[in-house]
Amino acid sequence: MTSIVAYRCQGCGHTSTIKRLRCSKCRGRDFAEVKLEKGVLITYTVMNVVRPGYAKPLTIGLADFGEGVKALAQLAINNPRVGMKVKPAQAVLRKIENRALLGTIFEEA
Amino acid sequence: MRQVAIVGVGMTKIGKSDKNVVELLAEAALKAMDDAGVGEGFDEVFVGNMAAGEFEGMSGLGDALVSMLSLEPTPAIRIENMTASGASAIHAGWLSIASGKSSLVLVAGGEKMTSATTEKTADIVASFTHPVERDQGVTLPALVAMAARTYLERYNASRESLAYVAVKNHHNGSLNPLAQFQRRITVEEALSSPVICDPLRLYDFCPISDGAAALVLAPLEDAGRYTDKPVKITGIGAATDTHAIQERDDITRMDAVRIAGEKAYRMSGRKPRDVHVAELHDMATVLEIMIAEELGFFKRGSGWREIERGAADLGGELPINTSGGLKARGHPLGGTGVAQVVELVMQLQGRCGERQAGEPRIGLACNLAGFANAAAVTIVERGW
Repeated sequence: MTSIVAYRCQGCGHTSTIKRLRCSKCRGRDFAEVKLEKGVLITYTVMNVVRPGYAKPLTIGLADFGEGVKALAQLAINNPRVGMKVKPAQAVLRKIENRALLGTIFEEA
Repeated sequence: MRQVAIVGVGMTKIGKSDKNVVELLAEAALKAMDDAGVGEGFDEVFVGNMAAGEFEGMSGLGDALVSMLSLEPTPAIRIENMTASGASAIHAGWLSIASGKSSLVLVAGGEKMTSATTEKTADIVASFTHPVERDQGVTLPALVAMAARTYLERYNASRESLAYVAVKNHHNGSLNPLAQFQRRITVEEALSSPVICDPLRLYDFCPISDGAAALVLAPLEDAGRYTDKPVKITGIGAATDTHAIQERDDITRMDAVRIAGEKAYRMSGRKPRDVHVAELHDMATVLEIMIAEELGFFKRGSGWREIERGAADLGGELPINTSGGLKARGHPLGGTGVAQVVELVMQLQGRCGERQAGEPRIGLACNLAGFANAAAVTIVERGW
């Protein structure tokens, strides 16, 4: 199962998908990786103007994975709805010439 | 700290220009110098610009500007703080005078954007985003659109209220000869324009712009040498928020704006209700509403209704974006923060012609960096 990696502070337990050198809550410096597998869509947009190398239209959304941990990713979902369940999946994020950028997106759970 | 006054202002026409960014900066600077009646004696020059390297392959804007104006050997530096580079350059200029280090400072902000395609421009602007989010393809309009969806749903706000911000600001722009858009629009037109990032449409967003604006700053005690109507900088405040949007508790909240505003209010001793005219960073319609709420002009969740009923019109209780705002005046990235203050100065001095909003004595500008990744607020008051 594909998952999103988050970083849990070993001092206070605060968790974020973003890697920081110091915890935003307690300034601790030790983190453990945790896996996020199920989220709920908070908001999204279908973009008709995209940056070079991205599919058009491109749908992106923000999902809540619990404990206040959120992640933003492309959605491989035709009719997204706020409140729907999403799960991470591997996909090509961007193609420039023949080079593909692989990453994690969301699909319907 | 010494009190600091704005003693001259200048701005180019905003829109599509054949000039490069240095030529635009120099045009605005020369207008500001002429407005102050001063051609020599600058101690420092600050240039607000976000991305001349990316748009035009240029660096060294400070040197280029000083040289074009024959101001050598005045030291000059570029200030970069994303789309709030202009306000940050003003704050740097303020500090230079307030500290006693300088007695005459030139601040110029500008950007040349129209040489790039819309897609390339979106890419350059998105360079402020966190790499984790940038890889996903986010753009600034997409982040704002996601916030707009939540704002509209949470507060049961009408879609028409966002369109009304565009209608109001186009109206104001039509009264500003230097604004990019001179044409008035209707709510119906705004709501039938193409979808850019749903739920937001073309007329919800500012255009891509070339242009520049400039100020001459001096100690208030010397201001009489340059003008009968000096405008004091009485409050400045700035703040920074998380780099990644996914780390914020609430996508509709802009802590950087709230905190920058609180700092500026505290420094000036003013409250939101003391402000007579405001220039807020309406890169998209919904941002004018969200910023107005963060700064305490309207209760949270009520800004859309207040603006839709006319509270921010030219004749309203608090005219917002009398210049036309980013929406209609235009948004040359590093120039915007300076252009906002140019408008406030002209409003305070009663120089705005048909768009003059009564006789304001206190004005506030809020310049946003990225998606409120940072914000800078400046409060100005009549100094005569």
